Parts: sequence; structure tokens; C-alpha cells
Amino acid sequence: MLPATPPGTSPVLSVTDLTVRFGAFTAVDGLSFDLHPGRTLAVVGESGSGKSVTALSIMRLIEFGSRASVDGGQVLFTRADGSTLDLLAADEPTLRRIRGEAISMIFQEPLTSLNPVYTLGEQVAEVLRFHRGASRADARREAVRLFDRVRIPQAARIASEYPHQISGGMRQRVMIAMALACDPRVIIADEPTTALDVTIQAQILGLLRELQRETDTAVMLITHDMGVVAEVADDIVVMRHSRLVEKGSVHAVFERPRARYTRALLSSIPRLGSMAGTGEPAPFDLVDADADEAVGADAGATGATR
Amino acid sequence: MSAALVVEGLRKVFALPDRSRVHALEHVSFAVAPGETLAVVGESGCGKSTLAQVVCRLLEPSAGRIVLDGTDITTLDSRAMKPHRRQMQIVFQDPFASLDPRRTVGYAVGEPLRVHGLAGDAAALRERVGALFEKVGLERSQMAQFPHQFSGGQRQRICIARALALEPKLVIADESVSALDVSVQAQVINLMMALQADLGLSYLFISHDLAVVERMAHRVAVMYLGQIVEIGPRAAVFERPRHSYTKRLLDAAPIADPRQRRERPLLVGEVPSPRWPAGESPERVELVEHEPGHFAAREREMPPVDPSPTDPAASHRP
Repeated sequence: MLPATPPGTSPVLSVTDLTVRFGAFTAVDGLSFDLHPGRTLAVVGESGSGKSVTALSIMRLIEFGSRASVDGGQVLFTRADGSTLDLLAADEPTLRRIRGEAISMIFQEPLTSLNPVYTLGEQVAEVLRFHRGASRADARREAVRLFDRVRIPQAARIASEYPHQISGGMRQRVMIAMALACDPRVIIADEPTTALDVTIQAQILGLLRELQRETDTAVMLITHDMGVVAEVADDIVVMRHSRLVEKGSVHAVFERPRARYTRALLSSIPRLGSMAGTGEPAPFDLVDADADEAVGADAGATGATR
Repeated sequence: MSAALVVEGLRKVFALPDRSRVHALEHVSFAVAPGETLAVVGESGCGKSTLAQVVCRLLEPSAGRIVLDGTDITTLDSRAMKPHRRQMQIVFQDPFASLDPRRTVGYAVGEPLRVHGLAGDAAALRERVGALFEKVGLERSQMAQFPHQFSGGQRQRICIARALALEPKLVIADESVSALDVSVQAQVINLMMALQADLGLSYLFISHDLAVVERMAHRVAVMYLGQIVEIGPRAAVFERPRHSYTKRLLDAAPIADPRQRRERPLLVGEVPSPRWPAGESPERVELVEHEPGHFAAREREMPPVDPSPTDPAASHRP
């Protein structure tokens, strides 16, 4: 009954034994997981568990402006033509072609990701001019088409506006338009809705899912919000203290968590609707994550092993 | 027994340089009973944090009354206000910004007692602060440490201990658990509930997180564009929402259970701005009682979801 790996699909991104250090501190310790076309993998964990470092390491962005070093492992990326490439061994010019084209990223705070002095249309057009060599006019037209695709109303008008002139939800739609510009095989979304109000979050998550259906893109979603995970993810990787705690399908991990830490995490989530039929507030019945901790013993895969 | 807090017709209008005005609060009225948690929910810009600050008198209301434990505090000057401040304490969202990095956390928790001249001698103060540390689940030995030596959850416990130092009747919690990791958040919520049961505290719990509110609150008020559009017992508001905005919020909130996954319509739309051109002001909503204690605004024409993605007040016509 486990929602198994779709038959015949090989992973588009396969991370094996990824290890990242900041000096003596190991931020990611021997992490392995696969990302499949058309599926959403959620990477969850608390602050400092290593989830954002994982995302930045895959894109090889972690080495910019920090003392981080990717110390081991392999990140095998399968190109559209079927050839594979280890991103950890690739040189910078190759990576520059891949970033934003084959693998793109969406960050938490769109206002800091957008350049305040260029119009929104210009910023999306830039991606197309760099990766596709499009002419200024063609890129501009394509940018407006992308704005339409992410359901930005009055796309042509918004394309000539500046980031501060539109709302946070619209900015995140622009970031998604930019991420989609070159039909990427993988989108890495790091807390893409954390800064948004709940009604806007619902719109953005719905949009991401719809676009994924249209394009068969693999999405790696980094989040601390288990509600978001339950809503949109197919698969889940739970991290703690730089390590993998548990991975599997979302249904399997939510319904039959194996690691004690996952059980503790799930016990602390407020689930909307869980109080139906009661009148009084009720405390959480918490599982202690560290009672007879045996990380090595109960770490591992749940359900559909990837 | 009188209510811990009564707010009547509260209004707060901010004038902007271009003569437009933000109507952050309009005709807000509610009461919080002793030992009760009233949650105020809504999205950015709905006025919920302004409400917290006006109730604490950190901001002056433009109109309306604030009655704290039977005393009208709306117009008291700071000297007359001081004894009443003991009754009402606030815990903010960011425990990193709320503690002085150069002072020990023991000093921080003892400071309200010193300010109000209740500290007694050094030994008595240390004893009281130590007891407060234990009450919030910290060790007495941690009193001598500095804020940077604590995690976010521990800092929020320190802020709660400081808020409890003066034995208030009402604690205003403005997104107090929003910045915490989920397991720490659950622990702090459990602590707040235990303290409520123990001390008979009332909470005015301001939050954007409906799942947390469902867990914590006895009653819920839903704010939209500065006004309460629905208020009532938590079970009534969550299980039988009456106002279309409450329904929209509940529909949008993610449910942390993959078996309850829902298809979402691909809506585009945002809450309009609470900013109004000079000379115009929002229409007052009229609350209708649907069942005992459960009120919802009568919806003549629900302010439409604003189709314009830009913010200027010009495009604002509810």
C-alpha cells in the first residue's frame, strides 16, 4: 500500500553521502537521498539541522562567502539528454550554465532576492538572455508570458514595475516565474512561503503544484512547517543535528514514523481540526526526542526506500 | 467577578504624510474573562499587533475605552498608570530582541520588581527570581548567565518569567511562539497553559497561526481590515465559521495530516489595504449573534478580494 516510486523513473538528482563542514563543525553529515521527476521531496528539520546548507551545497553556492567546504559525497544530476554529471566535481563555468537553467532556486524572502533598481520584467528577461541568448525584445515578451503563467494579473503592466511596488505574494510569483524561465528539471525551494500570509501561502503552494504537474519538474522543498509538508510533499527527508533521521513517503512517515525524533516532532505539531468536538484548550502530549536516544539504531528509511 | 480586560469601541488611526489614513483599528470591542485565553487572529496588516500595543498603552487610542480589571485606564497619565501596569504584561515575538545582552537573565527577570519597588533586599529578590525561573522550567543556577547563552525557547521562557514577576492578571502574547521551532513552540505553549491553570492568568493571544490558536484558545476573534468580523467560542468559530473571511482563513491553513490533503483553487487575490484617502473611512461592520456568544459581521457586500496586485490606496474600494 505504500505509494511506491513511480515505476521506471530514475532520479533526476541523486545525493550520496554529502558531507559539508564549516571548519571543525560538520553541517551536513553523510546525507543521501534521491529526487524524482514530477515529485516533491520535503527536507524538514529545526533551525540549524542542516537543511539550507544541503540546498546550497547541491547548487555549489555554499562555498561563496563562507568558510564552508563540501568534504565528500556525490550529487549526480541527470541532464535532459540522459547524461549524468557530478555537481560536486563540476567546474564553475559548467555550474554557471546549470544554475538557473537546469536547476533553479526560490528563496524565502523575495524582496532580498530581487534587484530593487531593475524592473521585474528585466530581471526575468535577464535569465533568458544569459542562458538562452534571447534578444532583448524576445526575452521581454517571454517574461510577460511567464508572468501570465504564474497567474500574475495584468502581466504586462507588472513587468514594468519595480519590486517595492508589488506585494510579497506577487514578488514570490515573480521569483517562481524566474525559476521556471528555462524549464528547469529541478527547483529547489527554500522556505518559499514562510514569509507569506496563510491565504497567500495557499495560493503559492497551489501554483507550484499546478506548474509541477504541467512540467514534470522535481521540487526539493525545504521547510520547517509540517503543515506545508503534509499538503504538498510526496516524499520526506527528516534531518536533525546535520544528519538524516528518517526518509520515506510522506504518508508512511506521518502515519508510521520509525525514528523517535520523528515521533517527537510529529507530537509537537498543532493539527488544525484535531480539537474538533472539544471545548477546552489542551496541552500537547509530547514525546521526548532524547529519551534513550539511539540515533544510529533507529535512523533509516521508512516505507518506500529510496 | 469582573472581566480581566474590557475593550470598547477601540479605534486607532494613523495619519500618513500624503493625508491618507491607515485605519488600523475600528470599533473593536471584546472582553477577556479571568483565566481565559482570547486569541486574536488575522493576516498582516489586520491590526492585531496595533491592538496589543494600544491595550498596553504603548500607543494611544484614537477613540474607545480600555478597562483593566474594573479600572478605566484609557486616559491615565504614566504616573497614574504605573500601579495598573503590574496587572498587565506583554511577551513579544522575538526573544532575541527583548533581552538586554549586557545584563544577566536573572537581572532581567528581577527588573520589573525593582522598577515597582517590590524587590526587597538582595536575598529576597534572588529568592523570588529563582522561584520564577523554576516556574518556567529553568534552573536557578542559570540566573547568572547572559541571554546569548540560551536558545530561543529558553529565552522565551525567560521573557515569560519576567512577565510573571509582577503577578499580572493579564498577559498579552504578541506572536510569542511564532519564532520558535515547532517542538520548542509546543513546550512553550504547554508551559503557558500550565501557568494559566496554576495562576488563573488571562491571555490575549495574538497569532497568525490557526492551528496553534485552536490548541490554546477558549475564544477567538477574527480581525479583517482593523475590525473584528467574527468572535466566539473557539469550537464555534472553528467548526461553524459564519463569516466568509473566517472561512477563507480556515480553508487556506495547511493541515499537518497528508490524509486530509485538499485540492486548492488557483486563486489570485489579496487582502486590500487598510489605507484610506483623506476624508473617507471604512464602513463599520455590524455583528450579529448566531449562537450564544458567537457573533459574526453581517455581510452586505463582502469587500471583494482585491484583484490588483499593487498596493496604493487609490485602488482600494471595498
